[in-house]
Amino acid sequence: MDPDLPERLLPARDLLSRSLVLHPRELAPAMPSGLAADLAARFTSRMDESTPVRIPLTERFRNWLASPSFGLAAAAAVVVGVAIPMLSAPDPATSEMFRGEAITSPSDTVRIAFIGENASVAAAIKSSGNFEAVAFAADAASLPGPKVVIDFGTGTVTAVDSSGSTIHSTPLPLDAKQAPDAVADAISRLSGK
Amino acid sequence: MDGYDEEGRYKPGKGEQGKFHVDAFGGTDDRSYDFEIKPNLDACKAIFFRFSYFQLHPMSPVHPQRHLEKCWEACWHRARRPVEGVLVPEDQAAKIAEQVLRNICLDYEELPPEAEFTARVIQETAEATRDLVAGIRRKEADPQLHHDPEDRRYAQNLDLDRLQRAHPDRGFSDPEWNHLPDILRPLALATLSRKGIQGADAEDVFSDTLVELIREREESHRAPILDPTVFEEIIPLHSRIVQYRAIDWFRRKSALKNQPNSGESFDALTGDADRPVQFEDGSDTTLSFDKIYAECREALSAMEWQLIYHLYVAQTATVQDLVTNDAFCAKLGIKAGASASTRRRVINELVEEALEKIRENLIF
Repeated sequence: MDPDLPERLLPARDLLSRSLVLHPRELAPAMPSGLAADLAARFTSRMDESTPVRIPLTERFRNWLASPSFGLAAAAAVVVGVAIPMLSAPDPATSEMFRGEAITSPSDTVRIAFIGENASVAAAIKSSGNFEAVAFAADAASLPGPKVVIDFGTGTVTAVDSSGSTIHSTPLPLDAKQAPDAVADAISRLSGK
Repeated sequence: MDGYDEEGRYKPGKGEQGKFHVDAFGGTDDRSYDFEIKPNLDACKAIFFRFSYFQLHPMSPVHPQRHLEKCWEACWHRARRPVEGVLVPEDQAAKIAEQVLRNICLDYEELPPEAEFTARVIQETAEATRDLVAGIRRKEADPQLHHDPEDRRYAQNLDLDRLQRAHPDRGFSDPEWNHLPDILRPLALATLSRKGIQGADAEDVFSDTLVELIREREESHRAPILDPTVFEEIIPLHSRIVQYRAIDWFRRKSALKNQPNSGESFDALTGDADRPVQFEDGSDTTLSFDKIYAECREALSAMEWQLIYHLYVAQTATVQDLVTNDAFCAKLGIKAGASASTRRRVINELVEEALEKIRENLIF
């Protein structure tokens, strides 16, 4: 039956194998059909009502993780994940963007520039928390790309797109607290363009 | 409805009373037997044959019908020979087996695991058959009825009722006891001789075993001679007593020899590679499954019983069958998708663990 069993367990196995029929030379008659039918009728209906064995979802997931199919799926995912970027790799000029922090194109960044001086308003805008510190530039006129220019001399907030065209201009609010909102509105017009 | 009570159990009618016993054993017995016969038997048969199989237990790795057939075979064999030396006619054994199966099934809403069910079926079959045989012998006043004619261990049964009759003052003193030593002595001396106890020593041990038969046990305050239902049961009972007494004899002897200048020690007796003393009786190599189950029931889990039952007891499945059975492997805790070799390794480990428990509990 099981040649691999340790020798010390063979007597136990042999004892069990002889335990049901002590006189194997005698053959029992077939089970009476009426008895078989009655047993079936007695237990079949209840068994039909019993719910099948259900494996919890977490257990199924664990089983799947332990299965070879998961290994194949994981390998396939790695291959796809590596191969697709390689196949669709950008030209060498932009390939360096794979390294370091994500960098957006300088031309897409909206800069905020001040012309003239109004320390209280400038401070209110910078400290409003609405804008990144790197967005502020001193030499607004020489900057490429879209920008919002706050001209304290003329008292205006002007939105200039990447082509240099003015798309929005509004008076700088007299109340310094309202100045950041005016700048944000100007930026949103550039972004919405 | 004639012949059935309110619960559908069969009750023999007036004319049927004891009919089974007349047919089976030539005697009559007024006891009624409660087994169920479905009035709508045809409908039951239709259900049975429409569904080619039905599941008896959700853990079962084999076809349930196959399990029931094996159970039926074991039940019939036990009804045919409830104890070594008793032989019941084949057709009557079938009737007994069917009645016992029907009665036991009435106790279950759904069938228990195979090992538990089979152990109970064959145990109750043996008990019922022994009771029936004893009743017939008592009624016919013939202790030899239904004794296996091929049993050559001794010439003739004694009257067990007389052996078990205890006088308030004189105890077990029925003249029938005068014949018992003649029956038991050859068997006992043969056993003792195999163990190396012969001559006067063997006679002393044998005398002790006879006393042991009528000595009240400390726990139950009941003498061993009162245990048997049929005379044939005295033989294995006395055989066990002989073996225990033989061990006692060796212990006493070793204790004497361990005294200063007394020669061999007990260890020398038992540890001699050339002439090892055999304490196990090699002739007694069979043990009924119901007894094995009773001895080891608590030691094994339900799953372990199921494994060894199907693999070794009923032999209704092989390891390969279990390896390819996904549902059963899941029950064993084997991960889905595990390779066949992994499944086989896990199953083999569980089987070895279960067999080890059997070995330890039966002490061999």
